[in-house]
Amino acid sequence: MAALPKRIIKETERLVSDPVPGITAIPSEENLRYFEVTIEGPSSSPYAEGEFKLELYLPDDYPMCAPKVRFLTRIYHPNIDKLGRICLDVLKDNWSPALQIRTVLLSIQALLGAPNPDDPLANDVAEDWKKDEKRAIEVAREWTAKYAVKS
Amino acid sequence: MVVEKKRFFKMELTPEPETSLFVDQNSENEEELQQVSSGHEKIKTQSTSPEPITVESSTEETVKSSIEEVVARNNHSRDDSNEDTSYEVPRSQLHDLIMPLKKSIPLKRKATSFSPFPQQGSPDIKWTRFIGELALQGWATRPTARPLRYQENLEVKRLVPKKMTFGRSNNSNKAAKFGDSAVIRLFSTESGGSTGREIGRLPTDITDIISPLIDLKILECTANVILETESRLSIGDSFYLQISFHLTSEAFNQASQNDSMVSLPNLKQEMSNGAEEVTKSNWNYAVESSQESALRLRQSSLVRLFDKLNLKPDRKGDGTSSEDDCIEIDDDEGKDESNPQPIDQLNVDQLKQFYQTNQQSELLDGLPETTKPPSENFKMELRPYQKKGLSWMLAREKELGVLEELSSSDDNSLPKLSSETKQVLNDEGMMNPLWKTYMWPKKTTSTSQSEEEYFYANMYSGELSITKPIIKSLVRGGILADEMGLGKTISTLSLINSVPLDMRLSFEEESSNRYASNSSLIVVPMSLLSQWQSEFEKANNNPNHRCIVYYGDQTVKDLKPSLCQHRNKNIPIVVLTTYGTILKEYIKSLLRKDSSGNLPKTGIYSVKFFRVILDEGHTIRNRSAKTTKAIYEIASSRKWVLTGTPVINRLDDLYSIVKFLELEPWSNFSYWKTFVTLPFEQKKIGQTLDVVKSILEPIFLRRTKNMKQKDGQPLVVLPPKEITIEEIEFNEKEQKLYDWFKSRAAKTFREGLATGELLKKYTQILTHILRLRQVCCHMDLVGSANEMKLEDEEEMGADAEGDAPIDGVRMKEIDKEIETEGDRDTYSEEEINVLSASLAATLNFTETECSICTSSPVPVNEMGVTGCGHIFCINCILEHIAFQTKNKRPATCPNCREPISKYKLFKVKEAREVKRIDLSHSKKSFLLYLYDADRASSKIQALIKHLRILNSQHPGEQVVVFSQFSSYLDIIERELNTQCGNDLIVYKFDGRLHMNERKKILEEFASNKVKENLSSKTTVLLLSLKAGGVGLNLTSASRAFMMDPWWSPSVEDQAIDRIHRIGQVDNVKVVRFIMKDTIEKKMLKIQERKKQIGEAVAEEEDEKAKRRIEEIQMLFEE
Repeated sequence: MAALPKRIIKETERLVSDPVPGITAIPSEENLRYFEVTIEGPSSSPYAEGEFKLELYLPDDYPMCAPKVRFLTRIYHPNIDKLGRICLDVLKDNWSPALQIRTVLLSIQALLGAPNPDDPLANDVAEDWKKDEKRAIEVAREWTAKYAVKS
Repeated sequence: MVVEKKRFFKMELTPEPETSLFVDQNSENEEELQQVSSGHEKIKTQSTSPEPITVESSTEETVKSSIEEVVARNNHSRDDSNEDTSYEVPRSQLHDLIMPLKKSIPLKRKATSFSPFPQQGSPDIKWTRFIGELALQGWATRPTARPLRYQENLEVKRLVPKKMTFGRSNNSNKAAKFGDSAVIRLFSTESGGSTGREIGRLPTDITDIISPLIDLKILECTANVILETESRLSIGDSFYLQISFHLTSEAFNQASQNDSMVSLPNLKQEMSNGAEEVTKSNWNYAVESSQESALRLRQSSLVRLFDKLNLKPDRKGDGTSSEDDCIEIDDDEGKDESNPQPIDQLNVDQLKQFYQTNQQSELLDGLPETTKPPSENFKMELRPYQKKGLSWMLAREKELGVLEELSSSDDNSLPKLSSETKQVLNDEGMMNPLWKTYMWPKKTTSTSQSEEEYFYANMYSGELSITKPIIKSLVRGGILADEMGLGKTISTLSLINSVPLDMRLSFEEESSNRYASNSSLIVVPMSLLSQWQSEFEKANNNPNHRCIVYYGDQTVKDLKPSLCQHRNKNIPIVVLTTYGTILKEYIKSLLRKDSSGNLPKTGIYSVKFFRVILDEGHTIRNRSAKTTKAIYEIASSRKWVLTGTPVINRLDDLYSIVKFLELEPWSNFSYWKTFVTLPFEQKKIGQTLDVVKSILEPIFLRRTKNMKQKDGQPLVVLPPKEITIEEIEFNEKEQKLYDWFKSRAAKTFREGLATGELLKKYTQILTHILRLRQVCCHMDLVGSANEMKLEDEEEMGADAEGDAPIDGVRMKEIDKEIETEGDRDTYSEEEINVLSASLAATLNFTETECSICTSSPVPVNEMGVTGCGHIFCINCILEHIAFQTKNKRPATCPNCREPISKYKLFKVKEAREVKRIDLSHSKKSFLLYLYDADRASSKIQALIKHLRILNSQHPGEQVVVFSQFSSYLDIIERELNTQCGNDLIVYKFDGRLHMNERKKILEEFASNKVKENLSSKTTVLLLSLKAGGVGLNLTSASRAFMMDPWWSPSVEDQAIDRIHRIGQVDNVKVVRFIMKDTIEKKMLKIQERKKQIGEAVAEEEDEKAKRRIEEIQMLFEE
């Protein structure tokens, strides 16, 4: 394992000492590049009241490349597929080393509040969303109540 | 007595007609012989007597009669002078010979040819005792009148040739020496006291053995005929007889002191002083005196006699195997007496044999490897061999209880101290190992022997003793001479912590209020004082244990109050001082010696220490130096010497240490001189070394790093070393420059190959190769004003015949040549000016954070500013650009996503603006200049990257950077300082440094480990491969970077060994930087080849040339 750069240590420390409201990120004891993340659904969204588990991994090239993030909790969202993969520009081409774990997680939280069915990852969900947004939001709410129960 | 003597006289008065018959086959010249009764003045014991020892004092009568006898003989000899049958009395000389052996008897010599014979008529009780018998074949030397009867007693008499002289023949080499001639004849003992008649002689080998012993009056013999002869004997007829041997009390007299060998040199002294005959102004030790010769003869005869009699040391008596201890008898030795071997040689063999079976060396193997100092005192972990060393040290201090306790702490399955080992260790009153116990043999014919008794013999000196020779006091301590780096300091501290105080205070010592029984004094050279102190603190785990330094201001007049409060728990167990301090006190106290020459009890001499330890003990090698004498005056119960180099110049260096340790008997200088100094001066170096080894073996422990442990594991297992080759890619400009040089080199090579003049162009090609290697390191090396300085002489002259040296001007031309090929995306001059000015004016350079690595603030000299006005670490932003480029993505500013380029980056320089009036208002101003991305060497950037990672993960680490180009080291130094001066401390060590500077740099580098552990700086030592490749110990560093490859792999290995050696505790990581697809890669191939074929030492010139061409071909082949 490549050694842990100062930046990662700094970020981790700050995540603990100065946490983002509604977001937790705890590094694994075995691998300090691996984080267990929870994100609360934004209040105005169908995901409100839900707590979503994610995993976040910092590759060796971080911060030159983006962290790898994936939802563990099932979620009904046009930009998040069955496997929990997230379609988010800053996690792909729009990554900048100036971004951090905290900003990435905030972006994900924002994505929950603003689904973008025009750039879908889960095509079926995106279609549902486009066909009947209300129904889709209802399903999303159901899923949240079903899967994303706060522990 | 008198009757017996008369018989003698009668015989002498009738000289034998057939004198020639006297001549033993062994005597070379037909000397006239004279018979002497060597034992007639003594009372003979009946050998068959059930009471083995008969005793009678010598009386005045014997004295008188002896004198009469001598006078009578002298008169007689005068009468017969014409007949050439004159008789001399050799006894006086013979006696003189023996006398010095008896210390109690003063030497008395007169000018006369004789001295009153029984002068030594001391009240000694005389006796003889049977030690064995032999059945032999004798030969008749005279015809006998009648056959010999069974059981007929024969007298054994010693005949001495007349010309044999003793003592006074020193000036003549030809003079016969004592024991040269051995003539023994058998005489009949007619009943009724009638004259004995010569009958025959004994075999030569027996005669040789016993005649010196009879001469020395330590042996008496009686003979019985054991087979009746068939008829009367003619000359040359053989007959069979049994000889009984008896040792006389005289034999044991001489062993009255435990080790009369010690008296040997004294004896010589006495002789030279007292005896006119032997007085020679320049007494030469090297010449074997007749006395020494006599001793030697006595010894060798005794050994051979014991062998003949099959008399073996008693096993019970000393516990060693007697078979091995038997001294080998050199058969030639006896026959070769006309050409006597020097005494030392013989004794060398003896000593060697003795020490080879030395108990102590066997002991070492039996010592446990599990001994650990008590953890409440000592918190360091010892290596197995150090544990064994501790066992040995404890054994040397006779701390068997402690040894047993500490060695069997947790794991019971491990072998403990064997009972035999313990017994050996326990035996306080150990018998002098030179001596062996013998049982008095029982006479086969006698059954009434009841008492079993032993006697003791030193077969190495020929001494005999009735009482058990005990070694008085063995020194508690020794010499720990482990090779440098094996941890003598730790071993010593483990000993101190195992036995911090004298637990066996004798009443006397306890009541003595000047015994610092809790304190070990460690004397060290000044430079090591602080090191010892810190080592002590590192190892110490007991809050009550302290270490004080007795040096400079801390010296006191009386140490008693601080050291001798036995009930005080907080007594310093270690007192550290320096040789200089002791010397100073010694000189001071010399002035205040009391009338009897005792030093005043002040300072270091005010108390007796529990233990004294001399670090770098060879400091006292000069026994007459004041420091040495000062050390000798220190009082202590136990003494240790630590040194990695016990012998510096001469073997005598060891004597000082031996004397310090009070190792008897070698601490007697005359003894040492006889066995070590003189033989050494006589160039018997091998032997002398053996002797020294033998002397030291019991008290000397030396391990070297090459030694293997019992299980075959090396003594020191170095931590693993990991060498990785990191291939680096050129940046564009480097690549262009490299290609440019390469095409030219290849051209030269092809030309050379085509014309067959490759070797003629050899230097030219070497220059090309050099250029290529330079480009691999740093472009600036090529054009640098002082041109590349290679420390390899072979390549030094390369430029002389090659291309014109490339100077700055030429370099610029080359630059232009390669520049034309493509334009870089950069700013124009004007843009640079405008941008840099506006950025400098608008940006805040004090509160910065690099958003890539989150460093804040970014050091000014590390800043890289984008055209869009964002500040990063230059290396972070370069890395980002490189990463994006690699992934074929456009490089954008991480902060604003504006397109960026490495050719469009600015560096920042701090410029202090000079304010004319208000100094307090002085404001820093900053200058921006375009970053020249291509000037930087890819290799140096790679190095810096490594150092940064290291710095962030292991702050305070030490790193060695090797290069063979000292000018490259200069560039690296500059780059490191400008790019990451805040995180690094950089030292440079190369051939240009002065000796003192070198030392200072290395010391600073090594000491930084401790100091800089607290700060987060990485210490870097830039080391020239040639200047620092060998010898240096840089084990404080565990990481190394090899900036450029060397032709021969061994040089690089050597360099890596600077950090991968004894003392290294961490895993060693070495990174070798190699430029991808360049000549460096090919050099690795050549290294590989060299490893395979080996670097032949003495190659023929042709061979060398051939090999070089092959190598060059390797370099240029694709």
